[in-house]
Amino acid sequence: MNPPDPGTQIITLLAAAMLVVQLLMVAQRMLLTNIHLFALQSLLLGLAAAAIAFFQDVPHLYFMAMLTIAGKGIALPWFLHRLVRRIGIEQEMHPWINPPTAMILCGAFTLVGYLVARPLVLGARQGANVLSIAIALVLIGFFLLINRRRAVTQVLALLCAENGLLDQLRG
Amino acid sequence: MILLILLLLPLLAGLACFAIRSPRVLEWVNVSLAVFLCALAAVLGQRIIAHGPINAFDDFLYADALSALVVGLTAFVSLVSAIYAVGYFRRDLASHRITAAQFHRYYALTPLFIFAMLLVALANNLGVMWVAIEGTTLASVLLIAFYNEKTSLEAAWKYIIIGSVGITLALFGTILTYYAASEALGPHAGHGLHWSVLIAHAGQFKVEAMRLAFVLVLVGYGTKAGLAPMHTWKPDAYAEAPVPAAALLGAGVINCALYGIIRFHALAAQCLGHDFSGNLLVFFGVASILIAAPFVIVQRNFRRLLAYSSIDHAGIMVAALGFGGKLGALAALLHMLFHAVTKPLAFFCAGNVQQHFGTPYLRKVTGAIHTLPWTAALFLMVTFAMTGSPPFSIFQSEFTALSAALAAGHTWAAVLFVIGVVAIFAGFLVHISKLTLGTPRHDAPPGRECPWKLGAMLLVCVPVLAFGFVLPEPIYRLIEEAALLIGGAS
Repeated sequence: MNPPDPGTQIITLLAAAMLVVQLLMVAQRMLLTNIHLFALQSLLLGLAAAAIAFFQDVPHLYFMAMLTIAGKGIALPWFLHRLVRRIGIEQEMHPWINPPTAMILCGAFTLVGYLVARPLVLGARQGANVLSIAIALVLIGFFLLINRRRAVTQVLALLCAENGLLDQLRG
Repeated sequence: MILLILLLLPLLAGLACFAIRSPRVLEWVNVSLAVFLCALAAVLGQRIIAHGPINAFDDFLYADALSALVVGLTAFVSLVSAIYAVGYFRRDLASHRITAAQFHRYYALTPLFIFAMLLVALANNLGVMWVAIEGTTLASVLLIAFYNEKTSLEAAWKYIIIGSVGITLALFGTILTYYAASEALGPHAGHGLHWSVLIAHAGQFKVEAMRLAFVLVLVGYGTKAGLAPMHTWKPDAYAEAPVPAAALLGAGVINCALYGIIRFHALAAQCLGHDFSGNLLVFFGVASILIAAPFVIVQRNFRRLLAYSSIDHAGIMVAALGFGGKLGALAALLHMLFHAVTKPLAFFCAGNVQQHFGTPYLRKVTGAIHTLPWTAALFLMVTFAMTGSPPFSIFQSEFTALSAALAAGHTWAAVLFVIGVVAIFAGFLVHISKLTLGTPRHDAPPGRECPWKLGAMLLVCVPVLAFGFVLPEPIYRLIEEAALLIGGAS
């Protein structure tokens, strides 16, 4: 079995980084930090799209990468940031389930992602990890949505789930 | 060409309504738009019966018998809601419940809402269909938040968050369907999300991916259709939206969501055999009926009562589809037709009672027949029609669904189905008979039936009364052909 080519490695690395960022969002309680993490995650998503565009030679994905970085990496976080400042919402988020338990649950979601994706990608070496991570990202996003009480934080969680979904698009 | 006109008409009307200021012109545009749509839908149905499916723009738009059925029902519901809306909002405006700006917003959003519903039925590309279903959510969420009260904002928030989660899963499923199909399609991959292309190759899809895709789509569009346990947005949304919008949601959008499920069910049945998707549909369908039943029995709010009835009916349609065979498909589509022509009347009656008595609570309204004789009598009648008592048409489709269940050997599902439907019948009858025939409250304001609202209600009465005895030949042909599209495939 040959080692995967550098393109696949980079794409998988970016997907893994997105998962790490998602877990950081679960772990910490501050709203503004959460928005920054979301921006970082969107940036990674945009870079991953650009990486696919480069390595697999599908130029229209550059367009998607630009849209993602401009829209979800810069404009949306900026807007949410301003909104949070303006309505003077409390910074701490008070999730229903405390972060350590939540982390364990998210570990379970990641496992589910791998289990669900396994039969789909048997034989196809490329993109196997990416699909699993995408499913895990969507599941953790939904968990964040359920786990939070305020409107703004729910929107943020929904956007994260959406990031996972876009990640899946590339699989 | 006709497909293009069907879509452009509501889109342009909606955009024009943003510029129109005069309330009379707004009403006039909305009603005449709906009249045109009904006429076009009738022409579309006839052409499809005569010449088979129609397509346009390099297969971008596609209409077969199933699309024509959904288009026809959407047009019918839009027409009766538009007529009812005239009376309803004039009264709201007169009693200062809404401002002129809100009045304007309703009439400008509704054509766009109708446009999104029609696009669901006419788009060939499953991705575009997904966008259109999301479009119905976006157009209707502002209608749910319409009254700007705390409860209506809460309902709208719930609706958009739960709806977005569902729609995210449906997109996931749509993409996976493409993935499952991509190898089988070969040279057609450029049109790989076109339903007409997919159905021709569904036999060679990747089984594992298609299985996961169907589950995701069922949960996703099931959320939009209000299947249990994803139904929780429905009672709030139906109770808070203004009545004409609630009628559009409860008798229009529900068909669009089911339409999405039906399309994917046809693909999954060809790829995986009927049993996998069929059993899932039966499970969700029967669960919805059984979950709706206790909530109907203990309900205190008659607007929410209608929402639980709609969960029940979505369950019946999905279960009938799952029972399978030509009989099951026929039952599901007949039920879609009968439900869509009956439900608006129930919403309108409830709306009249709520506007007159100023409350949606059952305990505060008794003996409505003494103040609003027409409304109360129709309300009682539609209660019988909606809960499936003979001679009304819904009895026939529920009976067909049961025969399909027994023919396919789903005995337990059939038993639970009957228990649920009977419990809902009993619950409805207790509540609505008290509401209409109970001892009248002495402080009830004197009543006067509004001609617009009554006109819309009598218009709905025509099919409600007629379809129980005779189903016009062209409509039956259309339904039969649509049933062959789904049931014939398995």
